[in-house]
Amino acid sequence: MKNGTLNLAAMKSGQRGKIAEMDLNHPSCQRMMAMGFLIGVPVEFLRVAPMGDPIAIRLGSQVLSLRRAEAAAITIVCQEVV
Amino acid sequence: MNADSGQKQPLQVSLAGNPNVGKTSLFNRLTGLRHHVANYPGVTVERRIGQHNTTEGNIWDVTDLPGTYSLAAASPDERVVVESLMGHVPEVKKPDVIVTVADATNIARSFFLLTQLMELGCPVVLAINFADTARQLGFNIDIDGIARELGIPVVLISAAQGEGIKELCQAIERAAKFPPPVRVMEWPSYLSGAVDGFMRQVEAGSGKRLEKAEALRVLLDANSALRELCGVPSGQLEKWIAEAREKIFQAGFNPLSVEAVLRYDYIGKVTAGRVSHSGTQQETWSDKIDAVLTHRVGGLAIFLALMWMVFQAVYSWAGLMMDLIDAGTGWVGKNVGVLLEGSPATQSLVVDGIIAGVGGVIIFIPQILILFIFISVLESTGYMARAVFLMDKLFSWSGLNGKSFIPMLSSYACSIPGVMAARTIEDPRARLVTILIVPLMSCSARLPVYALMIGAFIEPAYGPFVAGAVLFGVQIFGLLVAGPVAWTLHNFILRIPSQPFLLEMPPYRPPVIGEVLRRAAGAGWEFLERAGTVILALSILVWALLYFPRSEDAKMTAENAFVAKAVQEQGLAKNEIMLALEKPESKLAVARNHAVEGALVRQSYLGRLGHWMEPVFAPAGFDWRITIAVLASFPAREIVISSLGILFQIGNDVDEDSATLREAMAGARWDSGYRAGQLLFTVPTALSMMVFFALCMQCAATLAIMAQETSWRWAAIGFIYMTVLAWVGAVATYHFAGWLL
Repeated sequence: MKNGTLNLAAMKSGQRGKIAEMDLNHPSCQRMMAMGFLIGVPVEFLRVAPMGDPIAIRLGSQVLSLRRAEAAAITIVCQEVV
Repeated sequence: MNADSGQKQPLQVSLAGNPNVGKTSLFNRLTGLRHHVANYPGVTVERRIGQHNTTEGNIWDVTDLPGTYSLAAASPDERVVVESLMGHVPEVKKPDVIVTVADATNIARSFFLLTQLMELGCPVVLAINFADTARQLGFNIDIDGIARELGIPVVLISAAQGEGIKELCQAIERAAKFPPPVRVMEWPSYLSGAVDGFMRQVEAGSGKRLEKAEALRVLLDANSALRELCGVPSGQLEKWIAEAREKIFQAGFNPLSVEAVLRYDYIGKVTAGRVSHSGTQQETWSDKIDAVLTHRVGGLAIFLALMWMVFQAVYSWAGLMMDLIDAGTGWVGKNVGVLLEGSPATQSLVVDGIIAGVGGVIIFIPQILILFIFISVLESTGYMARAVFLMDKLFSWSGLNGKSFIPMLSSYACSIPGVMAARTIEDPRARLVTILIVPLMSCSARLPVYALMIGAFIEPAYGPFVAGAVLFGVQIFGLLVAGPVAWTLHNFILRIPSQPFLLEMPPYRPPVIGEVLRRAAGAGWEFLERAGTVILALSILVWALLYFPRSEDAKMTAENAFVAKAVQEQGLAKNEIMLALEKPESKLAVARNHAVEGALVRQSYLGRLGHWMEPVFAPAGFDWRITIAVLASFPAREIVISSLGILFQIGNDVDEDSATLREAMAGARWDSGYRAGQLLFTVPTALSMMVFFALCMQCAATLAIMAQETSWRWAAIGFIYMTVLAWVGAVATYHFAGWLL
């Protein structure tokens, strides 16, 4: 799925992309926007915690950890396929 | 503030900022150790307040606000912080200056909150922290350019090292005297039109004049806790909000995302050309450490090793110091006791009430200091966020989060530092759940009770293997109960909205020793000042309940009864017995003293309460003596051993290994009721008692610290649920074990 979109929670380690869409009805969405989750911001999926959740990502220049439940609100346009 | 009171009234300075920007380091820098914690009226949010003495001799009241990314308020807890900044909370003074602390390595995100704060109409000073780290990372920040653009003073600081603090203080002083000409961002006309229209509607409807910042929150937050401010029926308000949002929508923007889009757009313009970043070497360095420390196998192994070290430190290293404090208290008590021999009531009050009470407070200090040194290092290096990342899944199902791990772990040593460690949890709901369940962890004070019961009743009957298994079982029992309790509290009881788990994993930084020690000392000081006085008061209260009423009659009756019994049992004449009792060191005299002591406790207020409450505890297999011992050990569960010693008339100088205590307990029989004549301590009784001690909050210090960290209401709720749980657990165990064995 070259240049396709996928959910942030479904990304694999090392994959990069940009935020394409955010689910504004998600209860955490506004908080995430305050932290810098905005359409067009580059995202790199870093790793998954040992027990499968949460995940670690690089958002712009900051490294964040979030649960899959929150990540589900974010859709990514992928730049490269791993 | 009016000018004439300016000299006398302390300047009100509030520190605001994102979590992890070093706000607390700055607060500690400004105030030293002298600060206290206050709750906002009506909610569980707390703020730290301390005094800063300026070089000119002025005094400031500095308030450390809870860390936040935005002024959006979804809960009453968040709302009260916003409203206090606007001076709308009756008991909280409006700040004269708001110091916004920003992270030099993450300017854009820090500026989101800054632009919101600048709209509140209060002078704002921007302190950009981590100047040293930013320099090392190759950040270049043009603070003069930013100051010009925003119209506010900007100071680069390194709070942990003390860099830039003097300049910051001067900037605060100036901003208070001559409010800076703040240049707030301009909202596009479709948005300000919608906001103005909405404000007019509300004013016409209820007469309430909203501030613009308040109206923005009501309109732009999905569900703002500030809605109640409008004083308009909710159906009507809903309609006006929908109308105003429609205007924004018409202009081509989603009302729920427009604020973030516009602010970040504006922030981009402010920082363009003023914040630059050359080289990414250090960042990859941080990434490399992450690859090891958050690795599925290696990361977990390192985490477990570190936590083992923390536990050892709190359990063993602190244990040495605690033994010293204990011995010191005993020594002081003994020597002061000799001085006061003339008046037994005063002697008992001073020795058993005050000195023992003070000892019971300072005994916790080593654990608190050691744990907070570790926590402080783990947090300031950035490792804590990684530990949370590794552990979160283990806790998230029950409403806790990865940060609950350290409070729970340290509670295995003692729940006092455990409850205090929960202050590192930002999410107020997860924090409260954690505080409510950590006292279930099997702390070291429960061990003597288990050792006594297992040693006296389980091991003789079933051998060492079963004894070991039972000990292991009761040790993890509390932990197993804690999960479902947390889940229940989280899903059915607590009404506080939980915050999403969005945790920043900051770049690794070396710890600053001074900062680490300051933080540990601050935690110790807070404990002494707030919880310490309560613990002392409670221990004096329990002393009084056990001591009074002390009548000479009761003493005489007990002595006569002892003599009569001795005459009967030993077959000696009464005067021979009396002669033997003259020698204070004789076996008979010691036995007499123990008998009198037991009788006095029985007729004390607490003893009477125990008798009266026997029916309550009888279903758990406790007679009045066990009931008194249980009640007497509510201030501190380890007291149960010496209480049993007194009640079974072998004196209070016993421990869990005492053969005399074990014999006395094994021989004790029910003296009334349908079980009269039966053995009191059976295996079901021993198990029931262990379950009771595992689940009950028999610790005044825990109660006091819970009240300090939350409120008396939550401390009471914790106490009640644990006591009920302990009773139900003990009764069920007694009957189930009785049926099984």
